[in-house]
Amino acid sequence: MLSENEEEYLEEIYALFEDREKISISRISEAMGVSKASTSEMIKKLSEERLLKHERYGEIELTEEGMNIARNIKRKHRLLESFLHFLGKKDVHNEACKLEHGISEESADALCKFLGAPERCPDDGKEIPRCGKDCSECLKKTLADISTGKETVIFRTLCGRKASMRLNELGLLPGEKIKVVNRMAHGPIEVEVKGTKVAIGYGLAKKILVEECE
Amino acid sequence: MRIALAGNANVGKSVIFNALTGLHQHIGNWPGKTIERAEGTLKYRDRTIDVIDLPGIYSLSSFSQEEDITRDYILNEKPDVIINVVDATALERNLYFTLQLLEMERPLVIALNQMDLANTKGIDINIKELQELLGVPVVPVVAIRREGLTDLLEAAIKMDKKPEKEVRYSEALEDAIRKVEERIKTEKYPKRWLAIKLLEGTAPISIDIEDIKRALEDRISMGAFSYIASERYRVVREIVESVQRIIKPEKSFSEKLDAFLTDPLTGSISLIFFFIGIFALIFFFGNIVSATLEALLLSFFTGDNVLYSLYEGFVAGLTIVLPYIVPFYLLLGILEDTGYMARAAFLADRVMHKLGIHGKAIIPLLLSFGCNVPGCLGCRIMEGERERDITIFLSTLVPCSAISVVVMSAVGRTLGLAYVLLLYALVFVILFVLGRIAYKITPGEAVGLIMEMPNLRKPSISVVTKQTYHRTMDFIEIAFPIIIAGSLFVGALNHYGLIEPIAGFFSPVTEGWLLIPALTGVVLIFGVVRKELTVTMLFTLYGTTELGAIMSAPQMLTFTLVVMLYTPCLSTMAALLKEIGPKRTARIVLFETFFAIALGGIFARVLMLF
Repeated sequence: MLSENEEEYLEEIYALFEDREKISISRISEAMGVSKASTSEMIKKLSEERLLKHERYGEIELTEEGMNIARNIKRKHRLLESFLHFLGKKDVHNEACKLEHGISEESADALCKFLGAPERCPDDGKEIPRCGKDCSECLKKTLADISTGKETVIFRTLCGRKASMRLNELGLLPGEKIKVVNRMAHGPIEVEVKGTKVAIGYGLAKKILVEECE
Repeated sequence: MRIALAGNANVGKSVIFNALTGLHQHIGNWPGKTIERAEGTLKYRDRTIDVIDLPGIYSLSSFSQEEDITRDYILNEKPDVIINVVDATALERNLYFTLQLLEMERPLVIALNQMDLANTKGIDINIKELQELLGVPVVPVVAIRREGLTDLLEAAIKMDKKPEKEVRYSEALEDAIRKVEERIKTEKYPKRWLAIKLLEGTAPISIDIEDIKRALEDRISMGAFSYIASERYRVVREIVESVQRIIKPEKSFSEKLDAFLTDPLTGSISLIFFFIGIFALIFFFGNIVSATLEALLLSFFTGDNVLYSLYEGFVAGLTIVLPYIVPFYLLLGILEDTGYMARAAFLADRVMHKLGIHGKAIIPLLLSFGCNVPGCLGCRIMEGERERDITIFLSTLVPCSAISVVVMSAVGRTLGLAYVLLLYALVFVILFVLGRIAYKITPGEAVGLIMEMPNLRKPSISVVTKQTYHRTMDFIEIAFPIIIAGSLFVGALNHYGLIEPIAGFFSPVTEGWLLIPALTGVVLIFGVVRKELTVTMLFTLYGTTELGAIMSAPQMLTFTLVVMLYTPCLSTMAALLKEIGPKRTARIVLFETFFAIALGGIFARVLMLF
């Protein structure tokens, strides 16, 4: 079991790796806002645990095991951010940072399924790493992915309380079959629901999870 | 006797209202709200019946002022009968609202409107069965042709008891409702209605029922609000399935037109043509009529005493109302009534989104280029106070045609078109930045676009003209006193020779901060009456139309920028007052005054660098 601090370091190294930055002790200490001395101590420790490789003065590289752990933490972090975003919270990053170390694998997977296996984090738009299992069961499209003329069934709305209630009252409820009748590229989507037509903004449509039907 | 008309938007409520009350109507605002309140009376068989047209809404969950108004009116004023106008072509959506009205336990009659349209759409409704299922009278009408209105009135007058039937929901929900009812002590509200609202979390009062709600949510494993909505729709669907048959419908002309008007390509092109048309109307028609009217009226009398400024104020008001307000209200009425407004908003949503507001805002913002007054008045189409406040604020910053005249004659004539474009570009950037900031700081949840797209239809001439008449009179009532008083005030200052001392008093601002001649302070004060006065008075004061002789190029640019952004004119202030009340009006006026001066000074110093 790794400490929270170790996990934080691995997560930061993963972030630098994602951004294709050169990973060095000074870069890590800068990104985390800690001293170089404590960084190099931690790198040494992680290296002894065979989670990363560090040649003196060379670049730092995660081992396969280190990479898996780091990716998993990042995944939890971004899933939690997505969830907090769904709750309508503003500063989601710090809260997600605390929660990510306590959440179990099962809960993270359930959260992922609840959110319809989102591809990207709504907070920074970065990719959410996959769990490695078959996604097709959890993966949900959003209303914004449905093209004109297609029918679809609403799975869940992930938008704010007020918007969600208004959608509900117009009949856009989980399980409801709707048809996209018109749409603008990256613009609003017009759907037929309960015998009338309703236009929904693009941002909102991206928060409405749907199940495709043939 | 009092009858209230209630129903969804775009179901023909106002057509019925008009047909019933004819010329005996009064249109005003709901107390403390900016929502239109239409009341009227009619004489029928020796009785006088008051009719009130409640706002068009989809539910009673108090998400909007319209919903609050309707709910409070029904609960507190207790109308003798509610006529629920239902669109026969969209039974499912409309009955959702009907169920909620039934729960309010007031005598209810249903006017099943647009029966003709339902027939052409191949929709057949078994009225007798619908009546039995709902337990209230259902009267088929074609309001636009006045068919069935007498029957409707008869049914409404006879109706004197609350609905007989109670809608039954699922066992889980009924269980919870019963438990909540036991805890309700107040007699002020219908018990069952209040119980459901408490479970929804949208009740007007609070009673602790959290445990019951939680138990219900655990049992159904979803949120109570969503569940109640889905239960209502389930009941509605059962009713609709048993009373409605759809015979193979043909694609109507209206649907084909709709497809053309909302197609990303053809729709956008028609929207652009449409706006060019509006522009042409406001720029050419409005400006020409306004100028001719002004010249004509001012040539009747001449003078320079204080009383004359009274007359000038009257003329200023009239030259706004006739050429700008009347055509605008007509246009707005037609846009609303035909359903094109929703199409325009649909097409413009993506662009408007960049300003932090949704598609509907395109209408007031574009109208503001002609005149800020209709722009501000048009902001009432924005649902949600938050969106409306942002849009109205931005509308007052859009350079209107009077300001265009100033820019063209001050900067265009002396410095050339390039500088005109530069100023406009600058103002647009400012508009964009302020829009983003307003989006960030205005409280309330930003709800994206959720808008019903009503069927396209021919506008009802009588509804549109009557609406225009009442809205115009309403505007005159509020705006004229302000415009005339303001004009009188400035005229009095002028008459008693106080203008120049005041200009002197403001010279630290003009000369000191903005680096423009002190006399411009005078014209900036007059400019609040009418923006074009800023430049015409400058010409008069200096006795030349050659601005180059008065000011240097940087001074001219600073002066014009300040004119473009500073205090809204009196007519706009009157419109603001009417729409958003004194507090928010004061906030906008003060902000824009100080902002323009602050920015002008910085701009002047930046110009010195070149």
